[in-house]
Amino acid sequence: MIRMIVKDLRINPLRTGLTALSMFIGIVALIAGVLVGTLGRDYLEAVNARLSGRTPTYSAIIDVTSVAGMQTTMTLQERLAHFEPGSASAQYHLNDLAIWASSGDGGLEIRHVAVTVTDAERTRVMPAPIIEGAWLTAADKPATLETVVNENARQYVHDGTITLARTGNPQQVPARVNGVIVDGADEPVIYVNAAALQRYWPQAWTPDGLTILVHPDAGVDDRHAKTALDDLLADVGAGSVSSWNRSDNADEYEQVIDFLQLGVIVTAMLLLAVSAIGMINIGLAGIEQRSHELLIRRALGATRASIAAQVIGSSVLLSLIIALAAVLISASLVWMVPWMMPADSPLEPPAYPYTAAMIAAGASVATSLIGSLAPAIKAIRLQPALALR
Amino acid sequence: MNGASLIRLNHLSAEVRLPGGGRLTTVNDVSASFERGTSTAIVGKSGSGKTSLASIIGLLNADYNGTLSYDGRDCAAWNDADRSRFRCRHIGFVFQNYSLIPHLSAWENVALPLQYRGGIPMRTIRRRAVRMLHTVGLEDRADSMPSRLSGGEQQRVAIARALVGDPDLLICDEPTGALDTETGDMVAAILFRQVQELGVTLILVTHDPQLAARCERQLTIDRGRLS
Repeated sequence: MIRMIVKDLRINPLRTGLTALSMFIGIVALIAGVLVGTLGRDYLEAVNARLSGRTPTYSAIIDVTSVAGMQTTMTLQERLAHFEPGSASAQYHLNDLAIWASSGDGGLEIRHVAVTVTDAERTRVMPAPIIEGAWLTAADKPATLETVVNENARQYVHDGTITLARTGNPQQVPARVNGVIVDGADEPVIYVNAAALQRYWPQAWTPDGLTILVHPDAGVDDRHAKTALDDLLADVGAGSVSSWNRSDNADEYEQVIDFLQLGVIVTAMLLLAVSAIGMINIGLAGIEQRSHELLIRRALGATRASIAAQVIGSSVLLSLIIALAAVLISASLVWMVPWMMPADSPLEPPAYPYTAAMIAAGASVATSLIGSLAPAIKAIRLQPALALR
Repeated sequence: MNGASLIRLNHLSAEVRLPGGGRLTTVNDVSASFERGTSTAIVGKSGSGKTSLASIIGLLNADYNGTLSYDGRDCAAWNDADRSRFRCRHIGFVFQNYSLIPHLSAWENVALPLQYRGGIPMRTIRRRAVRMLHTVGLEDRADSMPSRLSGGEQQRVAIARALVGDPDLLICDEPTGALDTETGDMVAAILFRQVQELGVTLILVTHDPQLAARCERQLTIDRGRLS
């Protein structure tokens, strides 16, 4: 029977090829639909994560009692680095920090750019691709006053350093620039290592507030994360959480992405349906062409079941071959995506949507089965007596 | 001829529905028997009911009244699958216009009845098909496609296909009708020789009196009735 089925596929290579192509398009469209939806979601999440944190991120404003002391800050940083329910990063409010920049007449002037005093944990909450150098080092590691700048702040870096300033203070403090990141911000931003600032420029360490960004691990309830943070702050003696709000914007785009993904999948399903209708059409035309042959086969002893198996089998075998080819080709393309992505892409290399591929392959086989039923019924209804006519 | 009755027809009648809604009697109260190993020609004019009778005897048409029995077994109770299996094992057909399957080679055409029988390894099937082609003088054309064969060669392939399964009954519908006289004579000679050697019961449907005369018995059919 297998031999007959394979022979059937070779009767009309063009027809087989076109049927295969329509199946291939249907399967790839379904896989691509899921992949595009997933990549779109990942992209929006990644862009959003740069600006307002991974999904979900909570912003805790701390009612500060004391973060002026070095020991308190060090202990707080160490505890935040090992925060159990997720990732947590501190952002200290030091409003009078600025930089020295060229004034245009050859001199220097204080330039008020965004200066964020933070820690090494920040990228675990607000990821940003490092396109040059490295991120800030851990609290107990910095050997010097260190910073990281975004692409827009690169202009202020000279010989690997940037000169920090305080409003109304003539002091010029050079700080090493560890690296350059893509943080998604449109303006220059300078990230200063809080522990290093406190250690190497204690005069500037006058925090008047503290915000802790928390990204709970998957499955961790945000109330649990808040309680854990409260306990941590109480242990360290750094105050308590006065305000706890979700700061990422995922809620705003998740529905849009879900809708778009649904739209793409529905389109792909429609393509599969068109493929099935095409198969029925081609199948019926094929049976019309082959009716004399099928009558001869019936006269020679083929049962209705064997005729049906032959008609359905060739269609299903073709769909299996095409499904396998479509999965292999799409997997290869997904595997190549990381090589095609730019270095500063906010996206992680996508994972192959195995579930979608399995569903697409299953849908293709089901489509071929349904699409070949009508031709098979027509074939088994042929009256063998006509073989002698 | 061994005298044992292979097929019995008892008051067999069949009708076809006409496009206008009326009915046409194609086989009218036919009773006959066909002995094992004999050759019988069914002759008659076009539209006399020859092919209709042959299709009933060949179990291709189950829409009839009366009784048809093989080896004493009434076929009326058989379903479509039973009839297909019986055809596959016991009946060979030679059609008027060769009726070879165009995308199968000569040996693959000959092999079809054995493939539908099931349970025979492909190597054995091919060996038997090529051997049967050898008996009709076409072993060197085993891999040729039907389009590469002459009309006479195609009909010899069709004879090989009809005989490859060692059938008890061979039904030939105008086996030389599409061939010129010389080629037709050659094909008929092969057909009768094989039938004689294998002891097959032959029912030959023809309007060719010379071909019919080579059979042991002639039945004439007119408007569905045997005379």
